[in-house]
Amino acid sequence: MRVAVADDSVLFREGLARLLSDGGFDVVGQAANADELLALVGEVPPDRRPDVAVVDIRMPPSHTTEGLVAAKTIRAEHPDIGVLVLSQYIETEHAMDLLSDGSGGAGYLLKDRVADIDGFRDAVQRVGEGGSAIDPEVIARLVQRKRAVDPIADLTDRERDVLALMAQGRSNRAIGAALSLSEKTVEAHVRAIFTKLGLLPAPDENRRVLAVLAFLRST
Amino acid sequence: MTGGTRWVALAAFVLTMLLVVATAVLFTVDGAIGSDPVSNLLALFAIACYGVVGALIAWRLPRSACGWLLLLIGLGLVVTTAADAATTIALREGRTGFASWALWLNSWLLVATVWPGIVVYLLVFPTGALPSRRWRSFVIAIGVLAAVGAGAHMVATWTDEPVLANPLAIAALASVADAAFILVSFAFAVALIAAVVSVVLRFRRASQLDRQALRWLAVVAVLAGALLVVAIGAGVLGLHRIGDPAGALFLLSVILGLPLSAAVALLKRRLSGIEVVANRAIVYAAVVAAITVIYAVVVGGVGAAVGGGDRPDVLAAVAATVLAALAFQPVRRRAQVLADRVVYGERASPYELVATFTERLDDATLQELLPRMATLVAEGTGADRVRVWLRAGDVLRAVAGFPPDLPPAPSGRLQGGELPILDDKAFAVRHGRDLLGAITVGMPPQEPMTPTTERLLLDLTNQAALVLRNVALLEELQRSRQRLVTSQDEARRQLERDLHDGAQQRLVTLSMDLRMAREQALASGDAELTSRLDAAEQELARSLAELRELARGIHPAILTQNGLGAALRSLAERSTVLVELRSAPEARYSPEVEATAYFVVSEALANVAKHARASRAWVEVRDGDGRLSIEVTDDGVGGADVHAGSGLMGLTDRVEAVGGRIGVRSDPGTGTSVFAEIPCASR
Repeated sequence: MRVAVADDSVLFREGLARLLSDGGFDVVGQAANADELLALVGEVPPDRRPDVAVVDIRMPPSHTTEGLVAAKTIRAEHPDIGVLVLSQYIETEHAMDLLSDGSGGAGYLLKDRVADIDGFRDAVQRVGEGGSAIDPEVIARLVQRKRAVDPIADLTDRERDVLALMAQGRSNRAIGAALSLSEKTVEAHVRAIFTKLGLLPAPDENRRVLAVLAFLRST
Repeated sequence: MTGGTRWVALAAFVLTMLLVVATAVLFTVDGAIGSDPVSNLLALFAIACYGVVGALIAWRLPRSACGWLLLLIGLGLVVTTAADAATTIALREGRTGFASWALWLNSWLLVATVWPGIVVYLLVFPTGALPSRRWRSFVIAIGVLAAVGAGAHMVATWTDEPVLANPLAIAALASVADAAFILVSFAFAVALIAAVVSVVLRFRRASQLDRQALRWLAVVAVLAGALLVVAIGAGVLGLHRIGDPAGALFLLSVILGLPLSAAVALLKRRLSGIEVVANRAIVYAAVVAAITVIYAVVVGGVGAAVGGGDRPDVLAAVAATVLAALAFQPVRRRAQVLADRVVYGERASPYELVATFTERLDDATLQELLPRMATLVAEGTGADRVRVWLRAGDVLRAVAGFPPDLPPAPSGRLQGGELPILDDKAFAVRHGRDLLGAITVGMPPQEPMTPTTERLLLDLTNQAALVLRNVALLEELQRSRQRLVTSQDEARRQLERDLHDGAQQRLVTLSMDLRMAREQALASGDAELTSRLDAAEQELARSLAELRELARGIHPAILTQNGLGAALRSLAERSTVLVELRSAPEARYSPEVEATAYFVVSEALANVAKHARASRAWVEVRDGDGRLSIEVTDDGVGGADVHAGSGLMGLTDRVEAVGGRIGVRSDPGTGTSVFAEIPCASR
């Protein structure tokens, strides 16, 4: 899988590139700002075209949300290229901004998550394949926000755990492994969650994630 | 306005007055004055008031309906009264034909003029125009009502009249006319109530000046309304002993109340020099009266003492003339004082104004100070317009004025360190040799500035210097506080960015390196190294989390990135108590305003988490009237001690530096509520 990396810190960028190439990814390019990143995904030969771009949200010149803007541009212009946005602060606002067009191939993670090497490589892989990777912190925040207005108190603790993992883009099997449950039990929980939240069961996992996210952010 | 309309006003006035005099002459005929001479004479006097006040207002403000309506009511009343007296006299002399016509005129004139006049007058006072276009149909309805009522009276059959018969009676319409009386009376009662309600409603919305005018009318309206209710109620119950005097008092209060309240209210508004006319009239009347008394006493007294009887006493006349000449100036001065008091009421004497000027400004807040100063100057000098100007560098800005709704004046530029030419007469305000500002005074055309007023204003500007100097200093202080907050915010933003791009970035990279080293150690089978690297990495992760919270506390990046609304949502999500964000503005504001509002909410929520033992909190931030109003409420134990070094009090300075206010309400058992207001302009 081909990856492009964008971050204004050389040190971090190099480290990230090494981490990914050690994991078997092909790092096809590095960018220090949004313009360089857009050049990396634009007019390039097919064998240099990244499947996924890992982008820092804050980059020069204004150090606000250049990375996010670039990520959205990529998603609009190259829907087949996944984008994984990294940030030193989790802001649901930004996560939702990125995911608002409703298609897969997007991720939003706290920058610290790179230290969890396997988990991080897994997330890059998922986003590159058109799936989702949402930071658990985002989900926790959304749940908190939702509870303040209309408590998700109806859900059991176990159902809430399942909901959180589901919203991060995990499959039933992965959820089962994480919570030491059989896949069948997870399926039952998912059905219960969907019923309690008044959602229609979604045909595939990607749409399932989006449905859950859509529910969580509606206030 | 055109001379034509003015002559109509004058003609109506002269006609009213002639009729008043004629009626008074009729009253001298035995029995014509009726069974209640006192109230009839009082009514005649009131009618004269309508003529005088109505004509004055119509002459000065021909566009205003007030004067014309008062004239109409006055004419209607005087013709009715005259017709009444004429009926009595004609009856006694056996001229029943004339008596019938006089009574006929009497019967419908009130309904045709006075009743609609009063209702419409209540609607247009004091502006002289209807409250809104929607009332137009109401006025048309009143006109129709008056016409129907008058028509019914014109053709009615007089059943309770023993001697006289209506010369125009139509017997076939008798029952219709009876029904029309009842209907019209009832409708007028309802219309009157509606008009009184409209007075009350307008009073609540009126400007300061209109409110002053309406207050007088409201007193009359409420009094008359109460009397009417008593009169009608007693009438229905058959209690004539109460009903009749109440009815008479109602009529009297309406009759006297309308012109008197109009006179007082509109004189208070200093309408176009009416007060000058009144002032002069009082002075000359008093002087003439005094001189007449002197002549009467001296000539009469001396004549009686000398005993000359018929012979004109030249000596007494000369003595009286000398005395009158000597008394003229003192009498005139006294009369002037009396007239000033009657006409201008609250206008302070010049000495009083200078003496109490600073004292009267004592309890004003900074915002009120200059407007109050303008008001005091206007009250003291009788000026139409007063503006207070403040100098900042080379620019002179009008910062306050009287009346409060004075249109804004363009700024002026100093000419070689001196005042520029301004529209009104300007008085420089100096402290030492420093030019601090100016007071400009525009006098009404009928009352040009006198040397006394000018001296008074020069004295006042000396006192104003201190006030203006304080205001300038306070404004400078406020600006410097704001600059401090702005630069502090900028420093915090920079610090957060340094942390983000420096330490945080390095530590994240370091944690990645550590993790890779741990993988290598694990692969090499060095268990001890692996676990040490594990521990180090976990420690680093905690440091990173702490550093992140620290950086966010210094300045939340989302505030700069996405504005107040997004930052408050983020804050609410991260709070340890459940926070419902009920409302947050999506507009962008200046960085100081956004940061101040954010820190107020964040500090309040931190207090909720620390002290309130609350399960929930509610945050509401709204943008209205150029201010952000912020409220943070919780359902905790309350009773928070606001002064006990809470971080909130530390925010007071910050909020005040951007011109805002902050307060806390925390009663035991009812939770705590923090509220703040910050002036803002969205970008």
